[in-house]
Amino acid sequence: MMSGYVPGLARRNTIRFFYILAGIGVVLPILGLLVTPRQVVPNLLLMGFLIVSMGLSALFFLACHAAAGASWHVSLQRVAEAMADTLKAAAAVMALALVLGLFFLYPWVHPAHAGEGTHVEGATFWFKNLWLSPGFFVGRAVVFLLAWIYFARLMLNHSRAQERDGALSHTHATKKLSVLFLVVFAVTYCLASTDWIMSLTPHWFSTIFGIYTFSGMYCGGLAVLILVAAGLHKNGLLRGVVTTEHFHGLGKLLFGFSIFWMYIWFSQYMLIWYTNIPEETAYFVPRLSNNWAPLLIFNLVLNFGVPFLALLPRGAKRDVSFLVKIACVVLLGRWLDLYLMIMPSIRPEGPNFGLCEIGSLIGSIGLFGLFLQHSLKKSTIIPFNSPFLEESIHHHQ
Amino acid sequence: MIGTEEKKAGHSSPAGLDGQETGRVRRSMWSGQGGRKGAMNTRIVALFAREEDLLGAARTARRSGLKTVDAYTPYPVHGLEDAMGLRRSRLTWVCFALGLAGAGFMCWFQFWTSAIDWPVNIGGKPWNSLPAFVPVIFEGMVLTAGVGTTVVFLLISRLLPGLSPSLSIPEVTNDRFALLLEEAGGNFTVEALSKLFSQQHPVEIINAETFLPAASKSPDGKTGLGRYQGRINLVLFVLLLMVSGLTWALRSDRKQPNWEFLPDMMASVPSNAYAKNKVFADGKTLQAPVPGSIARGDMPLHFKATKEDAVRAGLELNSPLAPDNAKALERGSVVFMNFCTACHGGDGKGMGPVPKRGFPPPPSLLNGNSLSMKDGQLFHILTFGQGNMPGHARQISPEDRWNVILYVRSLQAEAATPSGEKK
Repeated sequence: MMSGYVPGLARRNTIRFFYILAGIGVVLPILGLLVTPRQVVPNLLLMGFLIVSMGLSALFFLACHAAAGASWHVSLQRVAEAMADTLKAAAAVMALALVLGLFFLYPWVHPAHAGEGTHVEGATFWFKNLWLSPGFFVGRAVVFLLAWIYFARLMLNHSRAQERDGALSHTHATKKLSVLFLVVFAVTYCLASTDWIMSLTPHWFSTIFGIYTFSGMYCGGLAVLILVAAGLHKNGLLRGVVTTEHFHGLGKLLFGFSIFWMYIWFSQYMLIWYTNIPEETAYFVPRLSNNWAPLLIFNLVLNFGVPFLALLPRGAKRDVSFLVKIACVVLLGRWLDLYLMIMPSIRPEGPNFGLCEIGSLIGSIGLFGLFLQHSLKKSTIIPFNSPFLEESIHHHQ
Repeated sequence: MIGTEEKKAGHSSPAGLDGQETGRVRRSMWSGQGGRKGAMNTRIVALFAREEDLLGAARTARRSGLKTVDAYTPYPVHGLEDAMGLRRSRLTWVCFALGLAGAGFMCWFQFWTSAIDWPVNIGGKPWNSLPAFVPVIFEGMVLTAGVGTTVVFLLISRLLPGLSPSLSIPEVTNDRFALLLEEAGGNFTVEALSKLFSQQHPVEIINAETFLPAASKSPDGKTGLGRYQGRINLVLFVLLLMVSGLTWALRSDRKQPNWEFLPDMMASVPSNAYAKNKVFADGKTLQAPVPGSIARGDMPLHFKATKEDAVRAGLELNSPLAPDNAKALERGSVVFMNFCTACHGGDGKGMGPVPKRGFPPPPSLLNGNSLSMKDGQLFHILTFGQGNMPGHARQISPEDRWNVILYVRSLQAEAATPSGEKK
């Protein structure tokens, strides 16, 4: 009876739709790469970082709840696991972006800019010089990506093994694993966002950058989780398992983390604004001029204004179709936020919206959708042998 | 007996379950005192051993049209509010309004203090700087909404200081789930309820009236000090207020700060101005200004105190003031009055109080040389002096020198105007 849930998670049309989107996302950058690599590679970096973050946030979601001994999320466990499973494929995209980035993007690689930001008035920062050397950079990236994939693998293995043998030991092992992952994740994600995004402007630095990218990452991950869960629920696959209460919980998390994102965004902005010293304001100067400024404001509206005001009433968080719309807005905001982190460093003169941008936006959705589609098929959509399933189904706010 | 009371009372209670109503009934159940005086409907308490039974009973009662006054449980039971048919609490709106009020107040307060009442230049930022206000607005909002909502919640739940809640059924803090029902009607009896709740296996069903009056005699069965716990708490609270009030009022020296808590930044270790200092290369604390540095607002004059430089000043320096600057003219007349009249006289003709007493009088400012001198030369004379006149650089600021030159020019213009045209 239950096995009927396994295959055909999405309708054929949905799969075809993702293939088309992914195709657009792959073809447009390839075409663009031949014409304007300066425009394409940042978009590729955005795409890679965006989908890696989605997988990671699902892993973070699972680890957080497992470490806290929560039970309500178990109804959503397999959805989040499928999202985490996309990390392998997403890491490949990220790796491609980094390799191309070393040729076209990072200013500290090129001989003309060699050592940029590594010495001030004669003093040489040997550590920064070492840190921003291509070999070490690639080595770190490989370690980060492999560590995340490895943790996702271990978590999923425990979950799938429990599905087979129903042993409680897997739950305990997952809990220990989650605690370890959270520690590793905190360090690696901070360093990864510093490496991959902040080093686009090697002179500039911000110690809050890691948590800034993290706050956005989790917002985006929750939005995707809401969208996927709502889609599967609509198709009847999660009916009776994922209830309004679960969507309410996800809505509250999205609401809370969009406030957290704004809090962190403002924390970074205010300190730079107050101190007003050139090394720090260098980040915001292009972003507040040359037509980037309206996008900066729009970014705040998408990532904070809309979810904050829309999800304030209780009813809004319990209305799944409404929640889905807000999740779409937040997802668009996620793309724009990353675009504003990356692109003004490459093109301070102003935004240049074109096929590459459309490609990276559509391509991220398409590629992630395809990877997810593939991952969802690997296991039952409901964790029948999880000791917390019953409790999760009866979850009540 | 209940029946007769019932007839007297009639249907006094509204069907709604507003907070006040619940509070009153709850108090009567907990302490056996208060409640609606005199007549009341029949109230029956059903006790259950399991949370599921309580939920089932609440649903059954609701389906049968009985009024559930309240439920008492050892821990929060999920879904109970749905089973009892309670409407959503309006406390969220209180929280929302308080949050808005807190944020709005902090917004206005910071604008008023830093832009209107006491503007302080901080890092050259504009006085009205929204980014600097945001953290306080945010924290003010959270504080007002958080504390305010808690206080409002305590008030509407009637959890006030000094109140001594006492349990009629202490088991509800341990392993029993109680449902308090109220209904007007002759057949609302313990027996009828037992039948209604047969599926839920009630542990006990008690007519509240039978034990409440008894409970009122010994509120909670406590002995000794326990009976006075509420009053003791109240006295301790008042004592706390008094002690802190007295501590504040009886400070030995009001000008001295109180005991310093975490004084890490209050007592810094500054070096004395003329003490030795390891930090600087020359070993002195007081550092000479960098050669060529200029004091704020002090533009240096590249002229010497010679006649040639006075002429050069006339060619090179121009007054920054427009001839019709009324404010400068007014200020110039004040400066003239204070510094010039002693010798030059109020009219500028040179017979001030000092020359009247025998000092050689200065030439008139209204004709001769003074007329042909340029503003810059007058400025040079004011700064460095000329003949018997000493320099006034130390007395009169550069701005005031220009002001007073403007005033002298106006005196000259007045003197040049034929007297017939004067008003």
